[in-house]
Amino acid sequence: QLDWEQVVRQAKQNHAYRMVLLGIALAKNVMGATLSESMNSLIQRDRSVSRLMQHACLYMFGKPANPSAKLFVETLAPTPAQPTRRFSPTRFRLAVCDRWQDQVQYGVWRMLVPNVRDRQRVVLPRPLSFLYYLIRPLRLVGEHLRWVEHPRLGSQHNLHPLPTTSQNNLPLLTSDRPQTRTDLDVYCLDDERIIYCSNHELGIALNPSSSMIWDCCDGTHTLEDMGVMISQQVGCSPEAIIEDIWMAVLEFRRLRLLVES
Amino acid sequence: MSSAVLHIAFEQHQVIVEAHSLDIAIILKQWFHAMLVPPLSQMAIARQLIITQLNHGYRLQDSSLLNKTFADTPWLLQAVKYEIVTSLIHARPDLLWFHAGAVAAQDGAILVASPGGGGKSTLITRLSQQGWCYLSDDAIPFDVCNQTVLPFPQTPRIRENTGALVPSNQLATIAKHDVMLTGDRLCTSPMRLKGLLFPRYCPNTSAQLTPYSPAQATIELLRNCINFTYHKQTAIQQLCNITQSCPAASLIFNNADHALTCVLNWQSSGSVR
Repeated sequence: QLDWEQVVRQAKQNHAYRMVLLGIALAKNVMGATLSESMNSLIQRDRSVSRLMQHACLYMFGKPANPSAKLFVETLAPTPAQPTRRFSPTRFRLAVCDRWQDQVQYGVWRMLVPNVRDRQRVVLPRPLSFLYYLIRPLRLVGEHLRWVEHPRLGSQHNLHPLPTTSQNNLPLLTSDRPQTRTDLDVYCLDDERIIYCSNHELGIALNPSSSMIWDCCDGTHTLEDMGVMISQQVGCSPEAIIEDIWMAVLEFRRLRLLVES
Repeated sequence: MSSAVLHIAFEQHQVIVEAHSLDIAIILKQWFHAMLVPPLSQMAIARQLIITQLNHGYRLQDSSLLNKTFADTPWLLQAVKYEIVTSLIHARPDLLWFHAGAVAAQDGAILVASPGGGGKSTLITRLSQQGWCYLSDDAIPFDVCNQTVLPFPQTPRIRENTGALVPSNQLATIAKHDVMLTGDRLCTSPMRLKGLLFPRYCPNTSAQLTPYSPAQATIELLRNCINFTYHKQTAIQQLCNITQSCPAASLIFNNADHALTCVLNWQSSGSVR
């Protein structure tokens, strides 16, 4: 029930018009969202949106949304594009900018703001970390001119391990034994559940699949255990459902339905 | 200055409205046409409201703390309606009240619940015009002891079809017109609940009716339960009981006639018991 005219107006004011159009186009082509005629015509009017959408799909799924669409990289790259080649994120981000001023700003930001690759190249103590703002442009120029080797993420060369969080690290989570809170009211509707949290005035409906996962969250089963148990009930392999179980438990955690471990 | 006194009643409770403006009184009479009772009825008085006309507006008062002034008539009328309905809700806290309407056919009623602008009133008036009996349009009480919905027959008011989705904060800008239902179109007795419908107006979508699971229907009823905080866990248990015994469906539509066809097919297919 969005006022799309208002959305478009604000997007233009914030110089994010093409980004918003791209997001809407992806929602339509990837998720099957229904758009109004006015939004469809806006998307069709901006030809770059269609190209950007193909590249976004290539980046996310390894294939374009429309296999017959001509890709941006094929028209500009001097060598034929390989089916598995990933589109440059930098080019993509430049292409979604509305104005040349935004492209310049992004370029300057890319040149100056250090990232993990800079920290891999040169290891500096924390008091000297400001020097990364000088090292970065030199590194980029050096890699472009092939004076220095382009580092690969994850290589052992001067690698500093990044901090991991339980939300992003699957191996860490699979060893957890999630347990539902005991202060919640749970109502059984055949193979579904209604959960009511009076503290947060929150009501949640669980469909049959998530109800099975919920029932397994008793503090004694790991995610792998749940995968085995549920796979026997539904008649599939544990590998086929482990990711769904992980997502469901993450959502239970996000909604604060689990005991904090 | 001319004035009128209205007695608006529900289940042995009444709200008395003394309006010192004939224009206001006429509109309120129209809005609560089927709920008016004679002045000498022996019903318990839930509230007494007084509307007085000022130089530039109106004042709304009651016998306690209520004392508000309004420059515009529409805002006054909305406030009066709100005070009347909430007074009657508070008079019967033992019932579960929903922001919903209901119509009845043959041996049961269908409860139609949706947020503002969902097409609830349009659908209910269309069904009433098709011969269904009208119970309510805006607020409907459910008796958990008898598992029945009770009539709360405010006059239905439907918005003009703008052909576009309107944000909820702008719904008040769309004009409404009253649909007077009288005589045998009105249901005057409690009816067993036999179906739950959750409509949603969507301009670019043809009518689609999708069955809801009991859990989905429970959550939708929770969203539309006016006095949920009064009952909380008890209310949820009651809603679970309702949805386990009552088929439910969502209805997305952009055309009232197509929506009506979907509902009639759903009702006649045996899905609605």
